[in-house]
Amino acid sequence: MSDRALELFEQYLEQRASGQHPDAAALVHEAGDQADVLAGMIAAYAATHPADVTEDQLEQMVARPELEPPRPWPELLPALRERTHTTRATLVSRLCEVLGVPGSELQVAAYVHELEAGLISPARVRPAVVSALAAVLGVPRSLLESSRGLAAEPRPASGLNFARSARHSDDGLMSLGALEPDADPRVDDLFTGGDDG
Amino acid sequence: MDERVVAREALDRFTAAYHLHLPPVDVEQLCESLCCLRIRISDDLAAIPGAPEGVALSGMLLPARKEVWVSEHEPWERRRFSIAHEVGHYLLHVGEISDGVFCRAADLRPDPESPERLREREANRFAAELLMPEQLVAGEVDRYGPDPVALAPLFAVSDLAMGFRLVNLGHLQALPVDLDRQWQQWRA
Repeated sequence: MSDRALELFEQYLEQRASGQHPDAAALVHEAGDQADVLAGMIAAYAATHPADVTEDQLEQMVARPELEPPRPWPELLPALRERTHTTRATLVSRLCEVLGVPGSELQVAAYVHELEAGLISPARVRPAVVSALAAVLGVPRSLLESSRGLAAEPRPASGLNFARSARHSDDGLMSLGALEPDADPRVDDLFTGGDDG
Repeated sequence: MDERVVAREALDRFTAAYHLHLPPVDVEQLCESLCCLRIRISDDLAAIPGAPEGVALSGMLLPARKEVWVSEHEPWERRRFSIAHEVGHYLLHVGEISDGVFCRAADLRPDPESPERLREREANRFAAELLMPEQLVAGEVDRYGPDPVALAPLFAVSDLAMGFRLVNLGHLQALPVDLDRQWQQWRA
C-alpha cells in the first residue's frame, strides 16, 4: 500500500476522531497519483461508517471528474465550477491571483468566457493557465490536459439574435458603464500563446 | 415546458450549485455562472453587429457568441430585468427557431398572437418569476404587506415591475395610483 495514501488516510481518520470534518475531496486531490487508492480507502471506510461521512463528501467522491471520460472544455469547465461551487466571477478572480495578473479581471473574464463558450481553442492557452485552472478547480492538471484537444459540440445557429426594445429611457438615473482598462499583453499571451511545454 | 417552471428550475439549480441566498436574485451571476453567458454593457446597442436598425433597445442576446448586451443608459433595475428576459430567451427559445427575432418588430405587429409576441411574453413571464419568485413574494407580502414600494428594493426591481407582479399574483387588485400614473406615462 502507498505510504502517501496511508498517511493521508490516517490524517482523515485523526481529523474525524477529533470531531473535525475533513475535506475528503481535498485529501484525495492531495494524494496525486495515489488518488485512486486513497479514494478507495475512504469509500470503504464510508461504507462501514456511514454516519461519519457526510452526504456531500460522498457525492464529491462519487463525482470525481478525474475518473470520468475526458470532455471538451466548454462542457468540463462549467461542470467543474458547478461541482466546486465556484462562480465564474470567483474563478476569474482566483485565476488573476494565481497567474499574477491582478487588475486584469475583465480581460481574463473575456478569455474564460471564450473558453467556456468554445470560441477559443484550449490548445491555445499556455501551460500556466492549465495549471492555474487545475489548482483553482481542485482537479489534477492531467484531466484538463487530456481534454484540451477535444472539440466542443456545435454552437447554436449563428443567425439568431433576440433583442429587447427600450420603450422608455431614464437618462441620468444611473449609468454603470465602466471604462475598460488597457489590455495587458501578458494576459493575451497566457490565453493565446499556445503550449510552450 | 411552462416558462415559470423553467425559471424556478434555473433558480433552484443556481442556488444549490453556488450556495446563494434569495432575495434578491443575483441575475448577473446566474446569467454568467449557470448559463455561461457573458454580460456586456454598451452605450449604443444599435451599433452591435446583428442589432435591428433604427430601434432603441434595452437588451439583446447573441446566442452564437453567448453574449447578453444591455444598455448603459437604463437604470440598474431595468437592466437586471433585461438580463433576466434574455436569459429566458436563451433557455426557452434558442434552438427552437432558426430566424432572427427582434422584440421591437414583434411589438409593432398587430397580431398579439404572433409567434414573436408570444415569445416576448414568455421571456417576460420567465424574467418576472426569476427575479420575483411567486413563493418568495408571498412570504414578503406576509411580512410587509402588498406594498410595491416597500417590496421592490428587496427584490432589486423597479416599483412598477413589483406593482405588476403583485397584481398578476393576485396580491393587489390594481396598480396604486402613483404607479398607474407612471405606467400611463411609460405607455405614452
